[in-house]
Amino acid sequence: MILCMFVQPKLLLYSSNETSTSIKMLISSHLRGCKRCQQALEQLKKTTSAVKDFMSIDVSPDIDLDIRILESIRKNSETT
Amino acid sequence: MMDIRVKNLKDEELAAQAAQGTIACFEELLSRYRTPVFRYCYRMSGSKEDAEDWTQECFVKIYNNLGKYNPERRFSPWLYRIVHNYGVSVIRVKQSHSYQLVPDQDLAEYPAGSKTDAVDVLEKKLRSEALAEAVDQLSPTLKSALIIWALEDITFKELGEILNTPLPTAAARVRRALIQLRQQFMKTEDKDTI
Repeated sequence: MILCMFVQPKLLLYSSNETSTSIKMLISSHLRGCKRCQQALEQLKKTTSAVKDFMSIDVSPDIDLDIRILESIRKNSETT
Repeated sequence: MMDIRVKNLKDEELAAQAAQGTIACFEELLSRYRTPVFRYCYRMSGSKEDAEDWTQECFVKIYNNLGKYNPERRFSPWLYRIVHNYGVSVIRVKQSHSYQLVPDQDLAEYPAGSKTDAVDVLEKKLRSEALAEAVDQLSPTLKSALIIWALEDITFKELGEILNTPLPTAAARVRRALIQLRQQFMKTEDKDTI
């Protein structure tokens, strides 16, 4: 249980492979015997995947946005 | 000839030359980052019109601050830090008002198919709306961190650079956002969906 409290906040870093080797080994070993943390990792992966899926929208700005931006910068430079 | 040379430059070199007044270099940076910045603004603001205005504001800020950029450091985190700070500050102001969710495609926009297709599309749409609503409930800081991380597919080390926080803090923010989303989302959805 104490180990679960240590492991669970690190699961996101663990699943993205951004923990140190020693922490990774410790978490992997703990996960093998802990159903609770296995479920937590599974839920985290599902949520992450749903969020990334939701965020990956295919929207683009209008073609003339660059012109508007450059125009705005030009005007700004003139006034300063 | 100039175009080819500019296109071959790294972001950091472009930014350094843009800071010296070479507008072609800034235009190249604009073409590289316009769409990602717009997508961030779209998810933060909830509308295409706002996203375009925000993108414009962000690039004006980026341009005006180029003199402070240190070319020895990576350009992308520096740019996203400006974008993040802008997004968070605008959302904070906006938070007192309710604003529109990002509209998703209407069912009518999907090609006709079997009944099962229609049900799948409807379920996907409902899930997407519930998720959009849940994302909007997050604090500006958590929302911005989550959007940058999810959209850009970056590491927590890189996210930490953008947010100007240590790696564990960046990861903790995203984790907190994911937990809140899950809790919020489960109020309206089947437990097993997310």
